[in-house]
Amino acid sequence: MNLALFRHQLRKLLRRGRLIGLGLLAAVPALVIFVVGSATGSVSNQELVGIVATVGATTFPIAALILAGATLRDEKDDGTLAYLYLAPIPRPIMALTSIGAAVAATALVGLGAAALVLVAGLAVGADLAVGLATFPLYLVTAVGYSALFVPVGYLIPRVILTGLGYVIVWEQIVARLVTGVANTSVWRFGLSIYSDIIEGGGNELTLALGPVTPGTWGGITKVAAVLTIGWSALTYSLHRRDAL
Amino acid sequence: MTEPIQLSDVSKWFGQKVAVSDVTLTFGAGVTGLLGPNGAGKTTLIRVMTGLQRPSAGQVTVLGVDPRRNVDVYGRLAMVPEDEAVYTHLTARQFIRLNADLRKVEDPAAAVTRAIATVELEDSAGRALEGFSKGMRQRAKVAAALVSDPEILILDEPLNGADPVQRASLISLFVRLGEAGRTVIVSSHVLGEVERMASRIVAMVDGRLAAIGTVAQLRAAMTDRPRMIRIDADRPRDLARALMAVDGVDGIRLRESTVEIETSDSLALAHRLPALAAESGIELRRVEPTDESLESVFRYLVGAG
Repeated sequence: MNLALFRHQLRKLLRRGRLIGLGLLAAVPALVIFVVGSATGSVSNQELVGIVATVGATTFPIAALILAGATLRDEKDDGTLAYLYLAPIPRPIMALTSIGAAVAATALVGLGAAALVLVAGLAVGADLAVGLATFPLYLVTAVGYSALFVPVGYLIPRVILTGLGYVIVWEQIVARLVTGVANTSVWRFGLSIYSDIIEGGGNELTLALGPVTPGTWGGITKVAAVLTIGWSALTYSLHRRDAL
Repeated sequence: MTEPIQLSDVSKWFGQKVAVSDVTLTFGAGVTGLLGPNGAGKTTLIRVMTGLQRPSAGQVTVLGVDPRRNVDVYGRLAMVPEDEAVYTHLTARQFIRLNADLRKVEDPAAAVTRAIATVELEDSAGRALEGFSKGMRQRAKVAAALVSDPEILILDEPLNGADPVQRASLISLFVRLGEAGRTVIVSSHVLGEVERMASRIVAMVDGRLAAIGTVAQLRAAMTDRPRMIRIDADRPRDLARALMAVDGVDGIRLRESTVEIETSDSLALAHRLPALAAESGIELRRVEPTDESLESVFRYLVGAG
């Protein structure tokens, strides 16, 4: 990791306006939990897990897409990438640092969202352990989505459109309909860890997982594979593709 | 001695569009002006030579290595990109410090202060770049490039948006760097400015090299190009009539008391004209070329391209 580059990219990603907007987006599951709990008097653990697994499946990946996709894309679009590219930083380090900065920014938003889920869950009667399990879910998926969307942002001008295609069409529709596609879903890698930690989670979570087997190490291994592929792809692209 | 930047048969194309075509040249110490109209391929050539873009064909070496394969060379090279590409959320000082940190400059705080002083930006260094004028942004970009004290400095249209005082100051700075033995490449389409700072000019037209040399060499290399000569005489109509029979006179235009001649053999005309005037009893008041500036050379190159 290159500390100067990491600091710069993190600071750029966490500009106030963007942070507030994405924080609000990522907070939607907590809001839904609170609203449902207020309306019905309480929310069961299974209901909380179901809301996180379904509502969070769209809101958090979109927040991750906006942050990770912008990590190199903004600079490529406005020409400032020249300052980073013409620094004596080996490309594998530049790629790893860029993904690392996106992970840090996305994780910050995700952990904030998980904290709100925890607070909202406790407020409406859910167990502490179920709320705490949301933290590793958001943390692991922050790594997966960053490893995916930083290279896509570098390579494709319309990263948001492409990323929405992955999050909404691929993960939410195709992965439910086509057996095997679920194993390409970053969100489900996180859910497999989530499910393992809370030991079950009910029908909503089972349905969301599809054929993906619950398991902490399995989920971590898959996200590590996504990270390795994303890092390699970005390193290769920085070497081979035009920077501007 | 090997020149710091060498391009060999370099071409760059984007789909069907050829941006740079078969360019072979070197850049050495001193200021070189990279000259050409918009769309001539200057920016693409700069991007290719710095490694920002990969050549479609040919080879680029900077300080003996391919910059895309050996990023260490970026510690000795700096570039000022075109347009207003800066991080608008940073102050000028933060922006320059970022460049110092990315380039692993020793004692970055001192280097930043030095760079700011070099471009005379001390009073505004604490302000966000967002509020900077175009000229001030250019100076901040130049300071960011200078912060690592590079051996090679490549500037893409660095004078765009600068006011006359800022321009003069930047030109003087580039000249000093060139005189200090740095390799300085400045792209521009403002010909008079290039003429003031560059000891060597590389002219590009339509992605191809049109000419290389000093301004004088460029002119000498194009002795066969048509030149415009303006003659102020007491009887311009008679002079025009007499000139029509002279070899090498390709065109004549009569304007009140002056005759403008287009000639492809100005030397022969210079010999013949006094005799012709004497024979016809015409008084010549003034004879002067109308297109001896670099601008005219450049226009000719563009036309010839």
